[in-house]
Amino acid sequence: MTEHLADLGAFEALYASHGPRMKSLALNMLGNRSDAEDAVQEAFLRAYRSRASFRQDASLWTWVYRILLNTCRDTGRRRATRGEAPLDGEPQMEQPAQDVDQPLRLALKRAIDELSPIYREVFVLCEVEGHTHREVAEILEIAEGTSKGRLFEARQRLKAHLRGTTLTNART
Amino acid sequence: MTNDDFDRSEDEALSRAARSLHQEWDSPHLWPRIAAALRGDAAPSETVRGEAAATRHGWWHLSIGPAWQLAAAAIVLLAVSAATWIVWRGLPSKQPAGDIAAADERLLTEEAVAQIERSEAQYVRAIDDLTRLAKPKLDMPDSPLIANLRERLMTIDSAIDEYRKEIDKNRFNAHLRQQLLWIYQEKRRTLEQVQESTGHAS
Repeated sequence: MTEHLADLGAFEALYASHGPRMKSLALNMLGNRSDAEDAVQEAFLRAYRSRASFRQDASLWTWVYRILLNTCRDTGRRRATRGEAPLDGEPQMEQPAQDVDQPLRLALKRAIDELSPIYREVFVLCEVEGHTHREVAEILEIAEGTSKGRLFEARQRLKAHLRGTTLTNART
Repeated sequence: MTNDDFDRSEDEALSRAARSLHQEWDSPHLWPRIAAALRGDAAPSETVRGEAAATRHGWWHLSIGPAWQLAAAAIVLLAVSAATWIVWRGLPSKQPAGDIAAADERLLTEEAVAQIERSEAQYVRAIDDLTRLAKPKLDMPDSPLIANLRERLMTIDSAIDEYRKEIDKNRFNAHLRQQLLWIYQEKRRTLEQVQESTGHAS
């Protein structure tokens, strides 16, 4: 029972320190807050249930992030099977980003959704959530060089997608 | 402007836009919900969660008429009755010796029940707060969306009452508590939709 409570305490501390970034990560992978919160809850449950398999030499938070990304992929697959659109039906309360070109922001959101998952995950983790390549490498269980390569490729694809429209206007 | 300058300004615009996609928002109910599920390990199964998602993205979002809403309410109540019947049928008063261990697995210990009841109380308080916040919008008479959400909340509340009555008869039934948690989650999502419906309601 004591061990059970200690585990709960560790997870609560993890939620306190990483909850906001986990919700944001899930939001950017799934497109709406309700699904993002469900994914975070599901990730904590999966992590808690399989905590015995957690390797002590790894960081708890990167392990839970990995589980969260798997949960988001599962949700994406379920949606694809059912033919659901990620953003339909649930109005969003977006934070106003005052110093950012809004058309570019919206176009970027759409462009990110069209990236293949391996590029989307690295781009969101690095550029949106501000994680280092070292952290991304640990979360995704890839080499740091692979993380850098995927980010470069993601940026090239996004720029190609946005060039000639919103990005051209934004940089001038 | 050189090509390098050109690329750099493009990169900077992209990075700035990417950073603006990071969002933070308050979710005072989320940790109590996770903690309740971890303590009781009573989270909805993948199947139930899938059904919940299908419900949220499916027919609940259709603009349905009163007859369909009555039918929907009936379906929810039938589901409640069926679940209750199945649970009670699965727990005969005189159990054969071989079935006792299996039945025990479906029942909670006194300590677990106390923990779950504390978490539930927290969750109910969080939902009450949400209800208070949503009340001004729920009282708006002219919005079809709000009217629809109000009908859904009434259906959910009646299902919660049914489950509470059954749980009062059997406090140790994990299945009933799991179902109640799922319904509370639906209520929470519905109240959030009411809160987020400013544009539609006004």
